[in-house]
Amino acid sequence: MLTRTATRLSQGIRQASSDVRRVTLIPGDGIGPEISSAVVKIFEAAKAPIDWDPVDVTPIKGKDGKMRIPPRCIELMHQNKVGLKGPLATPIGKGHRSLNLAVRLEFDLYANVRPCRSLAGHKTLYDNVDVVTIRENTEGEYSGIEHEVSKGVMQSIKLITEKASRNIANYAFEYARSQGRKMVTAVHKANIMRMSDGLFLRMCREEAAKYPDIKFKEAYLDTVCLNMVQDPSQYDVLVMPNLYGDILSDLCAGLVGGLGVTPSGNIGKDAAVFESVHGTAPDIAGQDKANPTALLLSSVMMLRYMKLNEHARKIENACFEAIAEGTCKTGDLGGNGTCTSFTNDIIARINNSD
Amino acid sequence: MSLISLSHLLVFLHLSHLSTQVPDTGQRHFQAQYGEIADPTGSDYEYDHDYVEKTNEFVPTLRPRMFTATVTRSYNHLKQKHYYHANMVDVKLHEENGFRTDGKIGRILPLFVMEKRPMLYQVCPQLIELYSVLEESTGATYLTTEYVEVATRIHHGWRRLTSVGFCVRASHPGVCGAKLPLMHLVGVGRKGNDNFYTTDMDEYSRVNTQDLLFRGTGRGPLFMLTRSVIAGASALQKAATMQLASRAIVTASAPKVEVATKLKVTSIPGDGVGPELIYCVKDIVEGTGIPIEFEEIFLSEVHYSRSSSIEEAIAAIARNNGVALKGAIEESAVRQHDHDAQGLNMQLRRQLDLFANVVHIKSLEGIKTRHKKPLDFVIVREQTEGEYSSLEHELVPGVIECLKITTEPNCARIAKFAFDYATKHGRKKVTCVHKANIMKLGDGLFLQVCKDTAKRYPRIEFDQMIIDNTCMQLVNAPEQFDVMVMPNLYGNIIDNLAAGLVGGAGVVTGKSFGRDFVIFEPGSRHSFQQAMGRGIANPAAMILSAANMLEHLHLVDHGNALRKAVEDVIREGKVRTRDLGGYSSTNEFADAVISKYTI
Repeated sequence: MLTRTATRLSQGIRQASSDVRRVTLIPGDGIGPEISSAVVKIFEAAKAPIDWDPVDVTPIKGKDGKMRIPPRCIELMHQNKVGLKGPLATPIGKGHRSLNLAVRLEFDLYANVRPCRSLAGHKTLYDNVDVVTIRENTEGEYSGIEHEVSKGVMQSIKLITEKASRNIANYAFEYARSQGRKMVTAVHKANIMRMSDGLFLRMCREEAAKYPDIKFKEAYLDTVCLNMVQDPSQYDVLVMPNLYGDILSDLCAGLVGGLGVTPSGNIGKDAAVFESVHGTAPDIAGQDKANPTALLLSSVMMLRYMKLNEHARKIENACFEAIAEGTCKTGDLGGNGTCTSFTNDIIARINNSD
Repeated sequence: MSLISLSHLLVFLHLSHLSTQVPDTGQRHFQAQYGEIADPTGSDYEYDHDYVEKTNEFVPTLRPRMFTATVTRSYNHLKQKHYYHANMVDVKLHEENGFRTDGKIGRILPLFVMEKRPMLYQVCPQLIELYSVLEESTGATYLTTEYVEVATRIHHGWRRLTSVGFCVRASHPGVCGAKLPLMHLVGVGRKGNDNFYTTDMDEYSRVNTQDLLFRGTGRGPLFMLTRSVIAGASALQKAATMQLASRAIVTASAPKVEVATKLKVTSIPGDGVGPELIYCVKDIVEGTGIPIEFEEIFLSEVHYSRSSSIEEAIAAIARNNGVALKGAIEESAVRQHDHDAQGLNMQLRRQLDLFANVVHIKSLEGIKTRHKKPLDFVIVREQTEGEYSSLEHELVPGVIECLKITTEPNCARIAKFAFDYATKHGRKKVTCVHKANIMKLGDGLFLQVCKDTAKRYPRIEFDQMIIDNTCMQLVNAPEQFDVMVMPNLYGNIIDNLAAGLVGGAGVVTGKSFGRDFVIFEPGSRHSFQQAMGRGIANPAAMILSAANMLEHLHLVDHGNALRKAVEDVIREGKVRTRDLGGYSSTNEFADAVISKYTI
């Protein structure tokens, strides 16, 4: 039986109402389609004013022979300005840029935000984690600029610009203020990389001066790693360049239960893509075993970004309750349920809370 | 100096070779191929010719073991016995390849290399039994290294056999004053009769051990041995020509050495709590009678005007056995010299060429951790290049480029180090940590070199993992790791992460290895400025590093006793510093260690 939304999905009908926001949906590969449809169902149950535009981002060969994102996707993104992305398969070391990177660069999504919070029903060794890692997303070590200088000598360039550093620092403080966070810590290695991380730090300090209500600290990367595994509660919001952010955000995700329960958002000046950062899990694809939590929490972040806080709260609470109390959790959360049963549980809770 | 020594040795060997012409008939020539015969000891050994050709240098891998010799067996019809011979011609090949001693690690490479050592076991089964007989008869304590076994087997087993070979091995000399057998220089016996010559080096135990093992660049011992060998050789020659039938023991004339009672090492206190921790170690050394003397060098970026220069520091380390105990040097944000883009730490590491940093993550009983698993893994980190190359420049105002350099020789070096380390310490798996999916050229090169190196060590499992995943795995399932090898920055991250897993920066030890120098320091290098002068820092890491240093200096008993004392104190749990949940001070911890120290 096709639901209303599914019909719209297949027919691409646009709703006339201006309340409804359109969101580009990239289901992704592997378990992507399953969890995307789970999210769509949950949104429908929560009556969130979102209409989805699903697209396929498999790169196609452009006229110049290079692989590019299909132009339709780019069109839609520019139109909708908000996207929700499932897991994409990235070939390692194949030479062409990864799709994630391409999406980020296309829309200048300069901030990657990953809130890591311990889940009530999912016990890990760390119970009191509530950290948000904000990572500069466009430059740094991942500029992709590498050369073989001479035989056997490789040079990778790490680029730090004032503009990008200022943007990310500004975003971090804005985020902290809007989310009611108390402290922002800049993570760096300016003792070794004096100029590059020094510039990053300077920008952070300048921004910190503009937000006197938020505490600002600086910490070395190794100190943060050391302390994070001993006592994660001492950190609140962390802001850092690209590479450190990548590693630290994965570390924090590991503290709360892995990539399967961690949301992530890539924010730009006027566009944003929220994604699940786990892999495509091809071994369980199609078996209804996938855990939609990561994508669901990312979509909740998306709702908050779009200022639909009420719906966000509803869905989020239902999700947390389902993990904390429910018996329908998927296997990786320690339950015996399936993706469908978990989704239905959440939908039921949303309906009950109304 | 070593070349001279080697050639002398060679002369000796050639003499012996000439004297071992076996006219017996029925000679069968065994040529075992490496790898075809199962190694009875179950470990893998290899000598890397490629590497030597490239740089003409031999990095002292901790367990370089490769034996090449042609073993021949002959049958004497008259006596109806088998005789075994090892052909010494192969040794010359190795000398050309720049074979040199490895005094830093306290080990002298075998002067002839028996590749077919397993074959030797096969063809000389009786040698294995003779080993225990030898031990009983001489009452000597031998180390259980392959070298020794081979040497002793040959030593004893060839009493009645024709000359075989010549193995030199440095055993642990112990402390001056104690009578421990030092080295047994096995001489070459003569064909056909019962003569064999040994040089018993017991008397050296009463002599300066420093001289024995660490004269300058560690070539001393070989030189000294060689002199005695030459003495022995000439005696042999004489005996050969004069057809002496009696068994003669040649004792080498002891060269004039200065008698010192303590081994000297350099200490670099550093900044923050470094000085307190080093002084704590000094107190322990004085309180327990460990024969170590520290020469302190003040190196500091913050106090740059009073700091010694790097050259002075290097000279000090070089003259004190090439060993140093170091605290953390804080990098100063106040740059005084614009051209000194590198901090003191990097300068020290580069100039001493300390390319490998080894941090041993081991759970200590008595320290509560979240995961409650007994961890024991090693992190090998490349320390001289990578992200810490300090090559930064401002392209235009507001745009800064920082270069990360990855070179193949350095990658090869660290990869080989990791695998050799794993071999030596009986580790089963080496994991390469990288980010080659993003940094395809830089980390791709590192990964590729590691993979290529792994092929030469078939008995060690090789695995690779991306750094992000590694962090997650370390937090959730750290027991899966054994030896990890990685470039500079990731090493920094993983060192600290893993240190946090087993109790923090106060309990983890690290060693920085170079070809000629070793520096012992706490594993995660934090100067802990907040605790400076308050006497609350945990000295366990520094004390355990000192124990590692003692072991390196061949004061193994002292090192083990010190380590055991620290472990006992921590296990007992009565004296705990703040990071372990108590309120004891640094000095109280030191006192506890001294009281628990028994040798």
